[in-house]
Amino acid sequence: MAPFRPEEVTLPTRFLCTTAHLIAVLTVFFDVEAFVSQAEQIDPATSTNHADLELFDNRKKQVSGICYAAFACFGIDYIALFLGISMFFPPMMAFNIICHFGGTVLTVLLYTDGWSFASFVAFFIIFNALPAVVELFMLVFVTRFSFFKF
Amino acid sequence: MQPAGALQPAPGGPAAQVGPVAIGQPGQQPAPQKPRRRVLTSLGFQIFIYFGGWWDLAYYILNILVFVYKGLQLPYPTRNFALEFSFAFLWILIEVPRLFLASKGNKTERAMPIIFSFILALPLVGMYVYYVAFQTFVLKVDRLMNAVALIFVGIQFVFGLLAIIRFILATRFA
Repeated sequence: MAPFRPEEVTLPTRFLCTTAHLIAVLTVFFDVEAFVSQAEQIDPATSTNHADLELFDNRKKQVSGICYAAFACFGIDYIALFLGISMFFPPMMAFNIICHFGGTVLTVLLYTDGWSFASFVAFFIIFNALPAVVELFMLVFVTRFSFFKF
Repeated sequence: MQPAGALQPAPGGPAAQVGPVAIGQPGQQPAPQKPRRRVLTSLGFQIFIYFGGWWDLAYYILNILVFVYKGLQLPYPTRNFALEFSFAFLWILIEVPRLFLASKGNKTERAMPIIFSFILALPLVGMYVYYVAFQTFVLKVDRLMNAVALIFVGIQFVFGLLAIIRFILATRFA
């Protein structure tokens, strides 16, 4: 029996890791009030402090904004995946898999343990924005400048 | 017994000789060209069949886990739970042949297997819609998973339809 080619393993793994990461971020997005309430220790239903309520509203908007940006990055990732831009570059595929797997685990922990908003921003930059930007660079270099020809 | 230096005849007789045909030699006939034919297989369709299959695997596992969670945490009427939980196992019996027929039809450039896959998609779409809107307890994760499954079926339908049109036009005007 012939051994697996790298793409036969990395392609479905990358798809499943990206989808799991997307579901984790969607979980935060759909439950943003509970997440912000737990992260900032503010209960909007019972709190009467205007400063706290204002902070709660601002945080909600910020978390929603980060989630929308994450969805845009996921869109870039999925389009790049379906186009097969980096399909034959195992290091790039491994980088994506590691980023999205790490993003999934840490986002789930962030949601269940109520980590801070700063952690969410850091996870977005490292595990969402960075793979999307790298994927766009790959698209430009492969199509325009023909670097990394295979 | 043949002498050591004698050439052995090619199996199948002189007509089955292998090796380069001398072209450009005076008096030689030019080698017959094979007619070139455009490949009609839809790459986009095949991509979404491939990733749809992997999504189905994730959906199958997640759906069962969600039903286990709902069965333990939510007050299900027994009959409803048995019915809905059994769908969570049995739908794969329709989905695997559906994807196989779609892939086979696309790769062999035939419309009929793709049409059969569309027919098999109908009960699946019904099941997904039921799980999104009409099942006893609908969680956000149910809506999400079944929405993604519906998106995949929808995209496969669009690409499959385009592939069918291309195959039929090719045979009609060949």
